[in-house]
Amino acid sequence: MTDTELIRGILGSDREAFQYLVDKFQKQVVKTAFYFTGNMEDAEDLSQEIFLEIIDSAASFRHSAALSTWIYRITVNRSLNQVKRNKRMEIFQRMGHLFTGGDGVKEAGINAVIQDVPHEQKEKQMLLRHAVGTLPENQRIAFVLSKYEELSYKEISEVMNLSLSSVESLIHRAKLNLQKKLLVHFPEYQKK
Amino acid sequence: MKMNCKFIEDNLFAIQESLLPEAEMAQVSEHLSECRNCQAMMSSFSSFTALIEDEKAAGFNAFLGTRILRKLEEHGNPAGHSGMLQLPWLQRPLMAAALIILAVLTGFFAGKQGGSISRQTSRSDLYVMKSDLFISDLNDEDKTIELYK
Repeated sequence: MTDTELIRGILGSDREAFQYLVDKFQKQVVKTAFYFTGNMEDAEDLSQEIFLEIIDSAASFRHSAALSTWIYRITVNRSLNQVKRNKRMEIFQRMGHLFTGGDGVKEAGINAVIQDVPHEQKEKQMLLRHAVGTLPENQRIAFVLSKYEELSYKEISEVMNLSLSSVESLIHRAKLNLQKKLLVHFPEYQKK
Repeated sequence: MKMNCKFIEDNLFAIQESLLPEAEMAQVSEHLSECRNCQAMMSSFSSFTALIEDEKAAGFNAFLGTRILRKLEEHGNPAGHSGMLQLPWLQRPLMAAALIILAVLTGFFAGKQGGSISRQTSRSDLYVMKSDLFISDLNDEDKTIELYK
């Protein structure tokens, strides 16, 4: 099914088109949402909202870009909104704990608890997520799409609506920032 | 130029991805073979970047697709979402305006229809009155006839 046929099917409420849409893009949507939110539960909930948005705004899809690019755009925007929501929640929780004297904030969003992983690795995973999560927004988007989603610079430039050189520069700066953020956690660096 | 530890620190990604020029890569290799601290640093860095691969391997709920599909079907009829109807802020005022116009038009036509009925009624009333008069006249005539008999 081509992108055009798929969009036509979605606009016609065709069940087969829905099925095809979910089968084809489910992994892309859930994984991208997960890389940004760092929480699989959030990513799964978010993916339902993302698919609803896709069918709601299918009529506005312009065929100038690939459908997957358009879906990436929706996914990234929704995921970043979710991350902001999580951060706000975290602040409120922190404030709540200050007044109630609770035992600290449960890890949420980018610092979500990683289960079934040895403690040391879990800690490293959290450090990495935090490091990626605290990159400036555009650097984070470019880095995640490049390193996690393995999109080409051209594809990233289409998703982000930026020039190729801007994407190259964003990824370069993201890597420099990230290695700086990670370096301080290396035992060899701490010894110096 | 002799490679130093600072250069390694500043180029961890570039070294790992072999993005440096060939000559520089050769110097990096040479430095790494001699400097234990930088070796350890590169190894720590690799252990972090390897986690990216772990994240990529993360699985998700096998039933998620079914859940999403059900939600999409419950969501209703996306085909009906033409450009204008996708603007929720416009839907209510438009609906209200349409209802007002409908009410005004209904009132107008009902008034028109009512007027013609009353006019017809009054005309038929007139006929009744006229016929009454005629009969009464006839009666009177009968009376007159009787009188003249």
